[in-house]
Amino acid sequence: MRLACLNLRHAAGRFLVTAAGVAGAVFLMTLQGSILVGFLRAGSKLIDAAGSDLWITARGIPCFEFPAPLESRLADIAHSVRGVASTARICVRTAQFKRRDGNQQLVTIVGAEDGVDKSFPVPGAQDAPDSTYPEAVLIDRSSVEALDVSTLPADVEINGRRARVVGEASGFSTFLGTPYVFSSYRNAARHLGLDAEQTMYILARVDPPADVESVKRALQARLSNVDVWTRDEFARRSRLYWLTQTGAGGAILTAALLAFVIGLAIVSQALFASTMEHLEEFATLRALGASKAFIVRTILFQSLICGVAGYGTAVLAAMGLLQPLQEAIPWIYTPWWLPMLMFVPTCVMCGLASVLSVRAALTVDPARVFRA
Amino acid sequence: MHLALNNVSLGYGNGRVRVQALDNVSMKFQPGTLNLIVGPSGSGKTTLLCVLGCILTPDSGSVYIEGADVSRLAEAARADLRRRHIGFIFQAFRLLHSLSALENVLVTAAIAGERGEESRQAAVGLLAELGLEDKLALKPDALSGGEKQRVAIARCLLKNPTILLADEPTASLDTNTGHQIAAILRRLAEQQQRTVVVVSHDTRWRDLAHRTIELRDGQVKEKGDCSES
Repeated sequence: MRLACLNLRHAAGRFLVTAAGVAGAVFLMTLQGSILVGFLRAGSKLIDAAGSDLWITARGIPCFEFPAPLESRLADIAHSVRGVASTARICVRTAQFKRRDGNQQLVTIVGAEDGVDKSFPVPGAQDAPDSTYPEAVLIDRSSVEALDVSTLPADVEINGRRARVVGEASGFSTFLGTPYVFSSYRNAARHLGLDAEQTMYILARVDPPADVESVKRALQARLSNVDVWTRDEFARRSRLYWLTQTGAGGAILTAALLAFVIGLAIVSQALFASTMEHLEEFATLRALGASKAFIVRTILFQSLICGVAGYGTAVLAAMGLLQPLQEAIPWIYTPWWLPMLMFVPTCVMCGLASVLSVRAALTVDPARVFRA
Repeated sequence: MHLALNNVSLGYGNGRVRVQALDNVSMKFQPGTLNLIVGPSGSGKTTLLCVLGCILTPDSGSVYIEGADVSRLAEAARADLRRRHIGFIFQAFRLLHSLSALENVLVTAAIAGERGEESRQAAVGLLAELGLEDKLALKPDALSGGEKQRVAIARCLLKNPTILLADEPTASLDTNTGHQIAAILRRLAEQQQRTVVVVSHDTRWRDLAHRTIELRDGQVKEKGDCSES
């Protein structure tokens, strides 16, 4: 495959442009992939953090952020079902947050009872000195600026009631533009004006010897007009909702596909130009007895060298640029495997980009080498 | 290795624009001979070379190499045949510009899937034999016309083919260099018992060739000393 390498070296300028094109495409695909993964993660972040085995919701709830009221007494009924170790309630709704400068900011209040997982942000579970304050709330670190809370504790108003921001949670930024404010269930219910007879989610923890699926079926049989989901089911349902029903998933995938197509066009064009430039040489090789496989290998290898060079550059760029980007958009997430996964579309892109060139080189008439 | 054509016809185009490049051509070439094909432009010389070299398939008739009819072989088998038994020398040299002289010679080994030191030594030996031992690393652009053609000869000899087909090998060279190349090809025919077929307008070849065949309008008009049909 020395011929492939030397052909590229012979036209170093074109090689660099091609590699840069691949790098741009792979970087864009990695960025879109990071947005997609981050979006999916954020779409079920609080469900995953709650840790409970089962979620009882009103019928047809599509995701965590859009609940409907449930009767609170269902929590007691659920607790009485065989295999349920404990239950806890969660309420969620948007509210007006009055900043210290007097401006209003729409927030999503999340109130949870004791009993949800420790990783779920609830005041009181924190070590902050004011965390046991009755009107204590937490905000996510990424919302400090939006909510104008530069020093803690900070006294604010939520839906016209006093609240005190006593601490910060981390990793719960929102992609909806309404920052989460975490509170105790009781405090949140008060801010939201939620009737004591009502709640929004009931979480059930299953006794370790009991089977989650069996308990789910038992709960479903016992409670009418509600949905019972395992944590994974509800998380998946929530992610699917955000992905498919909001158009965001389609937009992200389209952007990633567009990056792929741009990369494909760049590599195709450069490779085709190089092949046409060397067409006489491919005709010579064919006249000398080169097999079709040899010609295909040469062109494919040329394409893959461009791909690998571009891919390497893109990974380095992603390592350097995605970190600062994550500070600006905290929910973007680049898992360790994503850059590696991008090698697959890179290879596919290079393979597809070779098709036209391979076709041109294979259909060239070897008899043309006899022309002066 | 015997090389023969039997009633070979080949045309280009269809209907009224059809041109009969070869019309019922038969001939045999013996090992150890330098054969010259002459004729005016459009007489079918290059087409004949392509048919002999298994690059073009005749419309009718047969091409025999060592007694075997190769005219109906599939493309892959014909490529294999070219790789193993036939060496080509072109008027325009057809060297690969990104490769050095040595790498150009090694191309024939590469397309045969051979990359060993043995091939490299053989390539170096051939280039040295042709007086290019100090030009191994030079790219074609840095070589003179005669040097390029000698590299092309070394390239076609690396796989030790028994048939050498040369299309106007001296047309792009000055008189002196042309003589040298012609002498090399005659030596390859006589001393190494190869079958050499040269297509040329150059009349100097008539004195060097063991046999001259004249083509006109795709037909054999005249054969030299050892002609057979």
